[in-house]
Amino acid sequence: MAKRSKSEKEDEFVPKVNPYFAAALAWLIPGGGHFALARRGRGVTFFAIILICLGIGISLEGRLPWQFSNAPLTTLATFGALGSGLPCLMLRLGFGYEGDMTAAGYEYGGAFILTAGLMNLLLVLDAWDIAWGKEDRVAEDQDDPEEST
Amino acid sequence: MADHVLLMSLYSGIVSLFFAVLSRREKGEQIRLFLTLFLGLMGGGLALAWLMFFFPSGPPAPIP
Repeated sequence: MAKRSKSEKEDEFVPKVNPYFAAALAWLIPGGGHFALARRGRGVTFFAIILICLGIGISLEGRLPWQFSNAPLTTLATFGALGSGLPCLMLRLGFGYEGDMTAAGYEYGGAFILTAGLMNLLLVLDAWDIAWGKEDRVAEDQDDPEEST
Repeated sequence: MADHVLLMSLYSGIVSLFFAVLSRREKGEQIRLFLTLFLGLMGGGLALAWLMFFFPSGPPAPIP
């Protein structure tokens, strides 16, 4: 049987789950994208990690950045924090959470909250790759290195 | 929870666990990567802290 090239494998791959749906779900619910892509264990693990990180940030009364103009770095931090999706939106829009500037853990907590968002953004990218079968192709290439070029 | 070392350990642990689970599939490889990242983050943090020891800051800023 003739060996297939990497581009041939990429061309014939048909996603089982809509990659846009997987990415959107991954953003909205931490670990949700992986759960929808039948990586349930990892989905639950990522959900727990991100929620714990967010929870520590909130317990420290950390800063939840929420500014979309005039301050470029704060705007960037806002989009970073928004990376955690529904939890961040609920915190800000549902509970009006901002953090307490006078709290001892304001900056530390802000770091945890921002990191949770950024980690979830990585999960969005990973869910996209998995939906397009890149994870399986990487595993195939590792099994058969001659095909990886 | 104002202990700096505890917070740094928690942060390092969470980030290391995340990347270990994200980047590796085999349990053994995940554990190895977790330990590498965790020790790197903790060691790096402590090293930076000691470097800053030689450059002390001034009096704390007043709370607005």
